[in-house]
Amino acid sequence: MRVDRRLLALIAVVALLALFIDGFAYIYRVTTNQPLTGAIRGIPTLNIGFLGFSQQIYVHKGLDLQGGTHLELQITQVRAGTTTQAARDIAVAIIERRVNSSGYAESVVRPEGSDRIIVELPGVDLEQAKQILGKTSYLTIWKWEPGTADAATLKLLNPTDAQKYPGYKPVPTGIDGGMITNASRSTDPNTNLPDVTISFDNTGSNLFCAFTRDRVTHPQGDPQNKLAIFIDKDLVEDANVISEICGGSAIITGGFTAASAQALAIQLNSGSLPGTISIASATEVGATLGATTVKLSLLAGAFGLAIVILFMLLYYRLPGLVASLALLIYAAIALAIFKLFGVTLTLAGLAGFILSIGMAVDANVLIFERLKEELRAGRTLGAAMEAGVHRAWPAIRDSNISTLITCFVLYFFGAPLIKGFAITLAIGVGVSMFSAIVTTQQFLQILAGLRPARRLALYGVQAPKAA
Amino acid sequence: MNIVGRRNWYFLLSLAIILPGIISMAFLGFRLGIDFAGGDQYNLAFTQPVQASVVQKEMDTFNVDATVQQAGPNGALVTTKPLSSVQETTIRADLAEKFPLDPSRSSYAQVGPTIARELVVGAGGLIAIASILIVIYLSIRFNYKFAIAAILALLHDVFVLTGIWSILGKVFNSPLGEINTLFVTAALTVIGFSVHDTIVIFDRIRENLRQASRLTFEQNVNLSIIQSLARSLNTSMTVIFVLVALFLISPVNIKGFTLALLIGIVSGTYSSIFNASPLLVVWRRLDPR
Repeated sequence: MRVDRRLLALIAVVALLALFIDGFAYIYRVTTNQPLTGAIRGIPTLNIGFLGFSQQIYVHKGLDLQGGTHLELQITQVRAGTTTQAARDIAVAIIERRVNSSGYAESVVRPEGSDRIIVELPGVDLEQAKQILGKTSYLTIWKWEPGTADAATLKLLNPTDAQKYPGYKPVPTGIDGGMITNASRSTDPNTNLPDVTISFDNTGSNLFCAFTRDRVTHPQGDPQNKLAIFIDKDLVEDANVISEICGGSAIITGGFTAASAQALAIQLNSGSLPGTISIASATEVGATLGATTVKLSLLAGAFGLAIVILFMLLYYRLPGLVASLALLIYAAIALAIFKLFGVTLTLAGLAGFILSIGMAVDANVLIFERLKEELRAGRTLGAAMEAGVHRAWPAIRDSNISTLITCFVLYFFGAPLIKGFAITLAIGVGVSMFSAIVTTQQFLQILAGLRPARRLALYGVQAPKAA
Repeated sequence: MNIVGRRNWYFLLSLAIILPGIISMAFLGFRLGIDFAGGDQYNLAFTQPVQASVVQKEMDTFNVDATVQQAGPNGALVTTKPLSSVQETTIRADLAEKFPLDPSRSSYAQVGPTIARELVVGAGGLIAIASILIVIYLSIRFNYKFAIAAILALLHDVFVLTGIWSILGKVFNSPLGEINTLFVTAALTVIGFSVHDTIVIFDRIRENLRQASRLTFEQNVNLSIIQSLARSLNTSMTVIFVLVALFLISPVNIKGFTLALLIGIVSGTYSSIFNASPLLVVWRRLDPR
C-alpha cells in the first residue's frame, strides 16, 4: 500500500483544526484586546457568520477543579394537585431564576431523576449557596379586613405579623407567587426612588385587578387599603394601593433602598415552591484546592506523556518517534473535542482521559510488535508495515469496543461523577482508534518511502539471516 | 517459557491474594465513605500544623459520632453522621474559630441517606450490566468460552481490588481503604483495562488457531501468551509509571483513587496473562469438544 494523499490531507486538516481550537483562547484574547496571560474575560466564542456557526470554545471545569458548591435537592410533600415531576420542573424554573438574579456566572440548575434537582454554583461556598436558594419560600398576598385572626390563620402566619393592626385580620386573596411571571427592581420616574415591578400571569392579573380595585376604595392609611405580602409565615411587604392595577403588572413602592428592592424582587421571583425542598447531598470545594488539583493533574499528564514518549523512542526507535507524533496529535484532537462540545472536565474525567492515553499508546504498541515480527520474518518494510497494522486491527477493535461498551453503560446509568469519567474515556478511545489506524499507519507509510529510513536497526530489529 | 504448564501455581498465587480479601469482606465488611453510608465530611486544611487528636477532642463535644483522621501535617479529615443544616453551620463556625482554617483549600461533602442507598444498588448494577454486555460481545467475536474466561479474569481483578480495600479499610483502619464514588470509578476503569488486556491475548490465540499447525491447543495458548508478552508488559508499564507518579503527588482526597487504579492495573495485567488464557486450557481439558 502506498501513501494515501487524501488520508494525509485529512490528518493535516484535522490536526490544524484541533490546534486552532486548542489555541483559540489566545486568538480570542488578541481580537478582544486582552493580555495573553491572566484571567480571561468572557467565554471565547467562535462565530463564523456565513456558515451560521456560533459555538463556545471552552473547557468547562467541574466544581472539583474550580471550587464551588454542588447541591442535590430533593422535592417532597408536593402540593396537592401537582405531580412530582411537574413540581420538580416548576422548582427548577424558580431556582434558576433565583440563581440568575443573584448574578452567578456559569451556574447550573437541572432536573435529575423524577424528584431531584442538581444545582452547581462555581466559586460559591455552602453558606452563600443556602442563602441564594433561600428558604423554601411560599409567597402569598393577603388583605386586611376588620376582625380578629382565628387560630387557623395564626398557624399559617407569624402571630405578630398577623396581628399587626389591632382590630384587623389578614384574609387570603388567592394570589400566590406561582402567578408571578417576573419581578424586577425598577425606579419610580417621579421620585427617583427604587421600587419593584412585578408581572402576573392571566389568573394572577385578573385576581390582582379585582383585588386592587376593591382596595383602592379605602382611604390611604387604612389597613384595608394595604396589600400584605407574606413569604412563608413572615410579612415582608405591607404596601399602600394607590390605584387599581389591571395591566398584568404592578409596582410596589414604599421606602425601599436599592438593596431591599433587589432583595424583594428576588424573593418574588423565587415565587412559591410547589413543595418542600431539602438538600439530599452537598459538596463544597475550596477554590485553591480545585486549582491545586488541576495543577497536579496537568503535571501528572505531562509527566505521563513524557515517560510514554521516552519509552517509545528507546524501545521502538523510529516507529516510536512516529507514535509520539501521533500521540501529540491525538492529545490535541481530544482536547479540541472537549472544548468544542463543552465537555465538563472533572477529576474523574481527567482520570478517564489519562487512561485513554494509555489505550492510545497500546494501539501503537500492538502495531509495532506486529511490525517487528513481520520484519523478523523477512518481509520488506512496506509489506511489514501494512501487515502489522492489518493484523493488529482485530485486537485494537475488540478491546476498544469492549471499553466503549463499559463507557456506554456508565454514561447512561451512572451517577454524574461517573458520567464525566465515561464521556472523556469514550472520546479518548474513539480518537485513539483514529490515531492508531489512520495517523500512525500513514506516517509509517511515509517512512517506508524514504531511503534513509529503511535500515532495520531503526526499527529495533536485526536483519534476518539469509536462509 | 511454559506459562500454561505452571498454571496451577499461578492460580494458587491468585487464590493466596484473594482469599484473605474474601475473609475480610465476609467478616469485617468495608469502610464505607459518606457516599455510601450517608453523613458529612469536612476535609480541613490548616495554615499551620494541627494534630488530629485535638480536632477529635473538639468534635466530640458535638456528639455527632465524629471520627477525625490526620491528613498530612496541615490537614484533617472529619467524618460525622448526617448533620442537620443548623448543626453543620455551628460546627463549621466553631472549627473556623478554634483552628487556623484555610477555607479556600478545604472541602466539604454531605450525602443524605436516600442517595447513599441508591449509589450502593447502582454501583453493583453497573458492574453487572457492563459484564453481561461484554460477555455478549465477546461471544460474538470469539466464543462463549473465551467470553466467560475473560469475565472470570475480570472478576478476579474486582475481588483482588475489593478484598485489598476491605483489608486496608478494616484491618489497617486506613482512610485510603474507603469505599466511595471515586473507588467505584477506579473499579470500573480496572474492569475496562482488564478486559482490554485479556482480549489482546485472546486475539492472538484466535489468530494462531486459524493457522494450521501441529501445535496442541495448550501449546498454542502458551505460544500466544509469549508472543503478546512484550506488548502486555510494555503497555502496563507505561500506565503504571503514570499512576505511580499520580499516586505520589495526589492530594489525600484522591490518593485512594490512584492507589486503587494502580492495584487494579497490576492485577489486570497478571490475570490476563496468568489466569484468563490458562483457564481456556483447563476448560478444553474438561470439555474437549
